[in-house]
Amino acid sequence: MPDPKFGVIYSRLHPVTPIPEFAGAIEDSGYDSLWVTEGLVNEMPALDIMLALGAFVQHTQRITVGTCVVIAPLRNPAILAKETATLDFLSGGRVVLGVGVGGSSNSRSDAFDVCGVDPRQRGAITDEMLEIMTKLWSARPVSHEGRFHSFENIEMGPAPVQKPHPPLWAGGEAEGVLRRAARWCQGFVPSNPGVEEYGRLWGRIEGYADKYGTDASKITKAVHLYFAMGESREEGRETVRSTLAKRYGYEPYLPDPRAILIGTPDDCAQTIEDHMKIGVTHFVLNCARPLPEVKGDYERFAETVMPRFR
Amino acid sequence: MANVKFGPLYSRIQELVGVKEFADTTVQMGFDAIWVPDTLITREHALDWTPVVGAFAEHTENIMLGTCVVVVPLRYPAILAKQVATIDYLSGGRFVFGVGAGPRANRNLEAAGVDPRERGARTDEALEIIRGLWSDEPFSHKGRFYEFENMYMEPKPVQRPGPPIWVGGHSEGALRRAGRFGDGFMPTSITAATYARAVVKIERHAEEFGRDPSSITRAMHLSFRVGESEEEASARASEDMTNRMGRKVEIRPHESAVGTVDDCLRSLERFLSCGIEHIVANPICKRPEFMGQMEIFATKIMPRFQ
Repeated sequence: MPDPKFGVIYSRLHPVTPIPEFAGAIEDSGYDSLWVTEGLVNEMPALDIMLALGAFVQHTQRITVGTCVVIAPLRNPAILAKETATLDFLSGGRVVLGVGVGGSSNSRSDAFDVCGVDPRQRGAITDEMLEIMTKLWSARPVSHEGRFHSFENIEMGPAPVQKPHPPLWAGGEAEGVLRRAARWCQGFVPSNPGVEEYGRLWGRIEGYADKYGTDASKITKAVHLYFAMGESREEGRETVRSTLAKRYGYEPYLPDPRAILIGTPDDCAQTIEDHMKIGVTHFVLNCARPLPEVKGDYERFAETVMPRFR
Repeated sequence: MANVKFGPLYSRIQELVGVKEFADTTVQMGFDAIWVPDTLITREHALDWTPVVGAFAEHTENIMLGTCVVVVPLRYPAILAKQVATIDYLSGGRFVFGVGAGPRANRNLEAAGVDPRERGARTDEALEIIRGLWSDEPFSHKGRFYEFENMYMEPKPVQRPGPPIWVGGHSEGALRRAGRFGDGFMPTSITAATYARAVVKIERHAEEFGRDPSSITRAMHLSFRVGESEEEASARASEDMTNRMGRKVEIRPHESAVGTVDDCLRSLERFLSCGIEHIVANPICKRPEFMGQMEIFATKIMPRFQ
């Protein structure tokens, strides 16, 4: 089994831990990847996801940087393709584009409203978008005729540094996400599904891959996990609960304690091992605790848990 | 004619001169700003403006950063509002938001799926929404393309009420837009005489919209080429631009600064007599000559007016 990779989420931290400071700390701690989230309107202050990613590109040298996830239906495919190719150039090929369709929270539905996008079409928009981006990244003249976009002989340079293009990761657990993951994506990153559910989701992806004639074994199995270290799983779980409740303004749904990354270093290592047994290779940690404590918790994980897997 | 600000346009040379090197060189040469174009569909190696301006924000401390110009109708206004606010945050309030509707025949509009006939109306509505989302109160909007209630966006831009919006182009629609929304006016390929007439029209529009005409900063995007003579420099710039664009383009002496250093100085004096305070300087040449042209401009032309 290859060593697992570890990455962290940077979300809404900018007033407390600015990007340059955070980037340096995470890269120095030995993490493999750094991810940014999206937030548009009617929620806690959030920087633009692609620009935050761009700032991380400037302040890191080694690690993978990515979106986890960009709300794809609120972006124009040509522009997102161009932004991603640009970041791939500026980073020397270190970018991963994690795409999602937007969850069901209030602020997410407001984000669709403010852009005038019908949320019922978000899956269809995203499907077409992945097709268009994949075409445009060829940097050859391409044409497209679809439900939302049509164009002829468009040639977009520069081609991304990574060939054929930066990895696309599908975020989420919905049926459409699984289908999209099998058809277009090179990575799959559900949120806190737990190992049993992960296995079920993966089975669906394999089914779709057969249907589309793609190779599921080439898709990176990643997972996004809420994370908070503590004296016990109970304490970690309470930290996650109270943080999310404060952040989103309502009581969050929390899965089985073993489906999130909480507790002592031993507890965390156990959860990692459980996921590795079903083939998960990339762990994206989303620290759910008060913002001033986030960087320290990531560093603590890097010191006490990560070395066990290296 | 002193205190004029100058900034080069960082365009198509990213493979030759990286962002950090360009930023350092620009500051060293004494420029006051760096400008980035919006080039979605080009045959050449051209980067997207957002990460590039973001990178300049990281690699500079004091100089002004701007877009010349963002094609507004290609994007959802809310996304653009968030991006500009983020750039303003990352740069500590140094951003100037140069905007345009895009030319009529434009592959960018086609690639993004925007009806060219709607581009002006979409631009105006977007600017209204962007300003609204930057304001302190939750913002509601009912327009031709967008309708929503009670939206707020955080973080706000550092500059209040928002980064200056400079309007590009000099079509009738652009002049009206400049009068209505513009904190600045930044056309390209324009003669000094047309510029002077455009200012009169903008001021009239500003008054129609109840704004103070004197609050609108006068700027322009200026193509330049230093060479042996006006004829030679104009011909070579036209040839280079035609090759770059894949269609015939002429760099006309009266709409640019071409020729010997003295020719360029005279052209600049002509434009500056219209009250222009900011020049976006764009060397029209083959890519390897770009930095050399900038150097001549920075040492022999720009200091006379700074």
